[in-house]
Amino acid sequence: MRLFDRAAGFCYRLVYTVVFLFFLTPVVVIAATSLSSSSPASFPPESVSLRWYVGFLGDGGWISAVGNSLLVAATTSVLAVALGASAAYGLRSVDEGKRKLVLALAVFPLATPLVIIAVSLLVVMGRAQAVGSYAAVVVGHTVITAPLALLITYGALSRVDWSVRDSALDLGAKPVRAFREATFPQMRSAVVASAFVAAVLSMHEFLISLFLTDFTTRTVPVLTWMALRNRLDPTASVVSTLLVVGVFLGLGIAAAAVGLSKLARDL
Amino acid sequence: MRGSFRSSLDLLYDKLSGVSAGALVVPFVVFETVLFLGAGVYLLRVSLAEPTALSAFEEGTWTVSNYLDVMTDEYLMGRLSYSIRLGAVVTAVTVPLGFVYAYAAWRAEGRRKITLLSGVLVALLISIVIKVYAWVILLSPEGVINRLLVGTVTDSPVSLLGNSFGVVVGLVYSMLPYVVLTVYSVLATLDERSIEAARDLGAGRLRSVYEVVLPGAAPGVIAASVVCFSWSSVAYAAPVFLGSPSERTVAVEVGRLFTQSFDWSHAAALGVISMVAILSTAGAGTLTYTAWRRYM
Amino acid sequence: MTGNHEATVSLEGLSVAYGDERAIDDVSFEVHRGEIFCLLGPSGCGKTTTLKTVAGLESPDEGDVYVRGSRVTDEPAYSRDTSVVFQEWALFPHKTVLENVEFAPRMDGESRERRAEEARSVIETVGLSGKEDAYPEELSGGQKQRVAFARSLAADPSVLLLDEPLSNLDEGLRREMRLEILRIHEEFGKTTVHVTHDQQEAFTLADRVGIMRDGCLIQVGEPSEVYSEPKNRFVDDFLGETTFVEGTVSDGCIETPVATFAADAEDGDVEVSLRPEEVFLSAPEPSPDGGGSVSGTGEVIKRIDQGSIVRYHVHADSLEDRLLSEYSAREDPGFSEGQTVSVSVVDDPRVFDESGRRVT
Repeated sequence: MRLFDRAAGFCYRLVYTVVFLFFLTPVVVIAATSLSSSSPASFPPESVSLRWYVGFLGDGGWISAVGNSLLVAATTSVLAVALGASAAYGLRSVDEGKRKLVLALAVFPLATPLVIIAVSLLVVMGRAQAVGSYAAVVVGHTVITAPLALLITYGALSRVDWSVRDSALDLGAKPVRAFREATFPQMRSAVVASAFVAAVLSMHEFLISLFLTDFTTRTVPVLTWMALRNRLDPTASVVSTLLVVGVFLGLGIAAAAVGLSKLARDL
Repeated sequence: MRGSFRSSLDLLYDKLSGVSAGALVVPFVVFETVLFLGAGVYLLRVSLAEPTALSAFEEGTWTVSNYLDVMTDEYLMGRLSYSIRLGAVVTAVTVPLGFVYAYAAWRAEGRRKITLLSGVLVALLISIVIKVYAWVILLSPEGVINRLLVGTVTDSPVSLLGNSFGVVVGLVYSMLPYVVLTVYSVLATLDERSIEAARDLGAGRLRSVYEVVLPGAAPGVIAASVVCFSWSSVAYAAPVFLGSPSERTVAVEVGRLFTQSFDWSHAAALGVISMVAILSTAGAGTLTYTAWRRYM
Repeated sequence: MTGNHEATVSLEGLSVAYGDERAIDDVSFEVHRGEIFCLLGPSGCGKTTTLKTVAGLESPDEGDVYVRGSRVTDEPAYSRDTSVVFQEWALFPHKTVLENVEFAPRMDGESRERRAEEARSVIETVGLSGKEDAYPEELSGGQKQRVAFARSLAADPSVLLLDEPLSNLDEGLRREMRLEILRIHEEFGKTTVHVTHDQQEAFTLADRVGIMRDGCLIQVGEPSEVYSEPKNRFVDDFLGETTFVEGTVSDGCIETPVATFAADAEDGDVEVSLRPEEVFLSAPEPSPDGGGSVSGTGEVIKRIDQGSIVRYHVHADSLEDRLLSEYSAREDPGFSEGQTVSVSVVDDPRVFDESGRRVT
């Protein structure tokens, strides 16, 4: 029995260590190939060089894709928070039955296969002659990120201490001031978390972008996809590495803004 | 000026909170109703219109023949069945691995816990395209894995790409973070001392997990399985890149019908059928499991 | 005690309902200037709701609230001249102690220097000098409590409203804070409404108490008056540990298993309340100097020495319930468990009819 338990313990440690390494592998591969001098991308790299980084900076296609991605992610993030977080706030004063309906409306898009959302928007945007516009892809991303912002903020609001707002009112703060001074600081980390999640998701989203963008509006994942269809282009590694670094920088900034533990709780 | 602006804001706020702060949900509800539900309903409408060679579909017509066509199409039904099997295999691999990892992260303390959780975060915060791309590099015939295998285990490169193996690896990788986080969030609500209590009462390591942790984590494991199954069976990027045409999922076929064949009616019908099939399989699985737990 | 009996707060026929449920029902009372008025009652009796309607955080369905003579029923919380110390203190978690305390002066538009000065002086008064830059989460329960007081005092309200502010503290700290509240009251002289479910707390602090039950205000009076002359069985039961003994009235006489009392009451079933200090024990020989009617013998079941007082649980031969008898340590007759004693009681106990109404 003891021996069996020890064997089980060993397997357990082996499994989670391997899974941990499994998680890190792609990031290591991408970063390493971006620094390789050879093409097509291979791993491990034979020699180190920054030639693909230099190449990336001179490549108009990639630069414009990065610009598109940033624009779409920023707009999506703002829209998602404006729609989702404010709805979460309003949801408290809606009666039980309606609240459940709205929550269902928030969960439904997240449970729907992305390809269904992508093609149904393709059909609608096609009718509206909007395929290929920034608006189309932003709408597509907002359809899935606004519900996330709603759910994250709604969860945080359940932890808000409303008597703190009452005490602000009691001490002479008018409602808007009381919201700003007492309520909002308690939900700030949730709003930051929502904005962050929405931006990252939009930055990474591939399928909706693939269907709704065209040559001028395509985002980084779409261009990566197209680049990879032909051959393993090390510039894709460069952009991917920059994207990963960018996300973690963003996470660092968000964490610094509201405190890591709060952010972790609201994510 | 500033003062009067503020007092009118207060007035507005009073009105909103007095009568209906609930009004704040309206923009969200309108947005999702029009652009998610509305678009979905329109897709449903398209699936019930007659196809035509001249455009995407014949407007104003009603028919169920698209559904009949899709359901009698051996190739498409084969793709649907492949998708469901793929989802099942990925779930069967991912959920146990994810459970062990979530358990380890839950039991760990301090720096070790942070390290294990950041591992998940890394995998969660990279784009699906990047994930797939990295696995292409790793699994290719000239890739690092084959270079290790050739000469030690085999003489010629093993094909790890362009078949179900590659697709499963890619999908397991993309699903693992979601599974780990779902299970972990449920484990975090359990009382860690209950394990110590079980061990204290003489239960072995495995047994204490089986008797105490697993029942507590069951809701998380079920939720994780449903998410894992229903997302991986409609995967798009991994099957296209890591597999060959015979690893195409229904999602890929829907996309192809839409953009390449321009046959919106059949594409929409296939989309609806797949969604219903996959969600009801996930539902049936959950029900079977719940019934089994109750009666065993 | 209260030099001027002008009412600072008055409530007239106040009712609040949540859906079909009445949280408070037709509550009226007046609080005099400078006094501490305690609303006392079990949890869920509506005392906090009453307090919140005074603060303006809850709006009444019926009735009016007056503060210093003017009707404030429709005024929002922020423009009322009252300030609440909340049960969980409700400090601004993201603000320092100083920022918390200077919140109200800041809302009044006072200059930065002025409000900091005011806040510092109040912080000093409550004994928290040196903690100005700490955040609430770095403070102990007692310290948070003091910050909450300081924050309300800095608002300089006409009326201070205390919503069970001591219920989250442990016993020792609670006793200390009661004295602190009295000291602060002496220093600032604020008219205070204090809500609590703790009888001891109410009796320590209050100039007058109001007893509430199920949303209704049952009795208002000075603590000693309410204690000795409770209006009904509920108040009698709530304010002290008492044993109710069943009895029957006939011909101006109340017959109980313990003793017989003369009473001016209508015939019928009644309950007689016997408090521990109204039950006397003596050596088993018949000795009529117990101070009341001798009522037979009983057995000491338990002797509890609480230091300053000694309590006996006695099983009277004629009674199913046990009686409680209490002596100060100095007057302890020193019986031991198992001993047979003779039991006597006062001859004018409080008597309640079947509906709980006070009879005599």
